[in-house]
Amino acid sequence: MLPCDVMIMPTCDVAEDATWCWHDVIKNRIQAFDDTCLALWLQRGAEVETFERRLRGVCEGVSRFSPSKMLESLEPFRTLPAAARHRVAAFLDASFARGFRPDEVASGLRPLVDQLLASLRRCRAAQSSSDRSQLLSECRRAATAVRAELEALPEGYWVPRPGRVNHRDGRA
Amino acid sequence: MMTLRSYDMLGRIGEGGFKLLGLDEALDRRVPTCDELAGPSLLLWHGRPDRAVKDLLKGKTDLWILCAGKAPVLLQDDGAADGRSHGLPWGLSKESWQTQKWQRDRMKEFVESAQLCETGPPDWSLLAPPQVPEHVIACYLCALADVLPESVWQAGFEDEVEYWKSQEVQSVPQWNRGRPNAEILRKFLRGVGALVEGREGSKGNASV
Repeated sequence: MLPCDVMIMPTCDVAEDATWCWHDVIKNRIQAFDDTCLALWLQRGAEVETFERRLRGVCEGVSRFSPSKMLESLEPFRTLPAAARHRVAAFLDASFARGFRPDEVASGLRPLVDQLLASLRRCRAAQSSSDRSQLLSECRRAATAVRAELEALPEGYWVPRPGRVNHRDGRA
Repeated sequence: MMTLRSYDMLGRIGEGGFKLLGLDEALDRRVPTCDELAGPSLLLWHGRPDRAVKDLLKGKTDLWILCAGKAPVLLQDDGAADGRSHGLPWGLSKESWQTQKWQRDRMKEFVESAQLCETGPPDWSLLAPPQVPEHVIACYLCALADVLPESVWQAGFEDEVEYWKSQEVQSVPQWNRGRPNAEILRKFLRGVGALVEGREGSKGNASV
């Protein structure tokens, strides 16, 4: 169970990117396609480039799960006095720092993403069908590892639960 | 100024509703003709546009139609109306009109805005229901941080709670500026989230 709550709005962009990467691309393409379909998909440069860009964006942007980022887009907070707004933001940032460690998340995710993207590039460059088949299998294994990391991320902004705000909530 | 006409909307909101909208009487019980509609016009329509309404839209290019039903109305854009027919994104009945303040507020604001338009289209965005519970979210975050919510949030908070209560979300919170209950707010928000996720996974056609 994730140590955070899902907020339906506003949208957390890095959560959206993470979900798109693991669900739309890894699950529905890389893992679901057979070798022929996957090889064809890899030839669609634009889509693979988008996947690479958004996946790297997740690695670089894990700090944007911070709930204090949500305050910037919530209309009611614009009417809160500055001192109160800063107090809420500071509280949320402190809770976030205790319960979610962006550097650790990124350092765990980054090498797996590098491995996957390198596999994808080798697949695209493969000349023989036997090489390609082996590389596609390697690609799927790398994608499975990345998917596990992405699925463990919050689905929205990371928000502490009431009654647990002073505890060290670790990642699930 | 945009002319406002209504077809059978009395059946939806009752005479009191018309007075609230600043209309003196129940207007049209029949489909008006092009000649009867001078200048930019907005027609409040009960149900989906039928042949007569579609012909009216073809014949009069500065006519916009809002279609209302007991469920949200989703209209397929067949190109004939150029986006000039719009389905009310929430169900409307005499009962909901009487019990849901946000419906009255939104319809009133929409009608007033439309009547002030010199040309169209009317601002359909004014009809959007308070689906995003941002006031409730704001109260929840304040409750976590032990900060008092702003009293000006009360109207928005109650609109959002009322809307989602009508969608049968449980654990309905009360506005309480003194000591907002974070756990109740959280349960409510989780209920809203679950309902939205359920809807996203099974979208169907709305009936009027």
